[in-house]
Amino acid sequence: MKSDDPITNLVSAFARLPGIGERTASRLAFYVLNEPDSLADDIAEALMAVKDQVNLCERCCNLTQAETCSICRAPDRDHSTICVVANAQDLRAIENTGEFDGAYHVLHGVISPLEGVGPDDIHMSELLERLQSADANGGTEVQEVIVATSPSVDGEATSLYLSKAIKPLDIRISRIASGVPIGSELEYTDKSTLSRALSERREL
Amino acid sequence: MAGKHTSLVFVLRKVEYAERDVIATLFARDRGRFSAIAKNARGSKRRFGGGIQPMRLLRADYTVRTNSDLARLESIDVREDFPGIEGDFDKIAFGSYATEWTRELTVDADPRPDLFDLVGRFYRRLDRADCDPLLLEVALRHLQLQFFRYLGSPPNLDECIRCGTPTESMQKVYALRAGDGIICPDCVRTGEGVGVVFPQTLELLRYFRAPQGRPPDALTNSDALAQARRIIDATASQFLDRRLKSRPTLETSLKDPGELI
Ligand SMILES: [Zn+2]
Ligand SMILES: [Zn+2]
Repeated sequence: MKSDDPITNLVSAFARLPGIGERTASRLAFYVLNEPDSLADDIAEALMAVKDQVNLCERCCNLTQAETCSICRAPDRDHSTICVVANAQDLRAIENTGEFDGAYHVLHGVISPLEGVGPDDIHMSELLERLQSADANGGTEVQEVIVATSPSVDGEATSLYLSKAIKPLDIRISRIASGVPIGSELEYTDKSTLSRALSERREL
Repeated sequence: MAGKHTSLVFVLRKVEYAERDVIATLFARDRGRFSAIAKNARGSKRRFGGGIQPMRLLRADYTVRTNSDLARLESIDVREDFPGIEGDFDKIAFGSYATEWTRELTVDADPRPDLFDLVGRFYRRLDRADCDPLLLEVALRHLQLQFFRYLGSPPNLDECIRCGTPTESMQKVYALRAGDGIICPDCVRTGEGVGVVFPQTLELLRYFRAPQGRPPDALTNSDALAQARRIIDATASQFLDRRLKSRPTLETSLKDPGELI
């Protein structure tokens, strides 16, 4: 709810961010207030720019400033292999290993029956479209899908759903090896564990 | 009871909090439902490597604080996992529904070892079951009917809830749309919402109550199955004030989902 007091409004706006409680929010608000105007200007500008200029790649749903992201545009990558990740942070973690030269698909979430998140609530249909038609994948037919969701119940549910949907198509599907500890998150997994998990993926 | 504790627990829910923390709703065998924060859970493999995950029997070390409702989860150890559930989408759907069901039908700080063991038996049963949606449903309906019994309000399937006439001697059997159980034709009051219950439905509900031996043919009768589901739902509505979030996924895994309320 909006109040008339700009400080209260700023505090409650900060408090809506993940990981920021009421106390941190008010500390941030007073910090901004006491700093020169340039800080507030820079933050406001950066916030607007990120919403205006960053959108989803029309092919893989990665975050990009263009219509398709730089990975989908790269001519030297293998666009017949798609690594499916839950979010852009996980994509970055895999890119950082330098072990994978295929394309990605970012679901922006995972299927979570317990939280009422189904396939229609994430970017699953865009992926299925790419698998069914080469046109939706920039002209390259997909040969292999690697599911790189975290090894949790939701990550498994997502992977199982996908393998069921892919079954009728002639596409290889594998799941990253569980060198990634159960219950941990990709984003926080170290590089060597992650690259081993990729190379030791198992067929589904 | 402030201080350090160790309990057998099931995770009923987990929510990411702040950068690396997790807040979990736990159901402890000796403590009932409570919430706990796991600091740095998303980074620490040593303390939470086994994973704060639903549908696993865990041993949890935690600290109860005097000034907070939120306990602090120190470490977790997997005592029993159910790979059969995690390897099948339908089983995850049924298991998730049962987990959310447990979360909604239990209350904080009320130790219910009976319900805890019931949930454990359900996971074990689901884990080993063939991947047949009807068999998975038998396990779920049994869990639900047992929950009603332990909570003290099972639908009465054996006699009229008003006059006590045994169902066998009724010419026609009715059920109240609001739940509760069976009534005989003589006890139906004008204007009250009732439905005729098929004999197969009663047979099916009794099988759900004690699923021993070969399943009755009624299990494959879609009308009886739909009606049995409605009666269980009606009873559940006394305990639930909202539709469970896991319900849409469950419906995709049910055989003949039909028109569920
Ligand atoms: Zn892209
Ligand atoms: Zn009666």
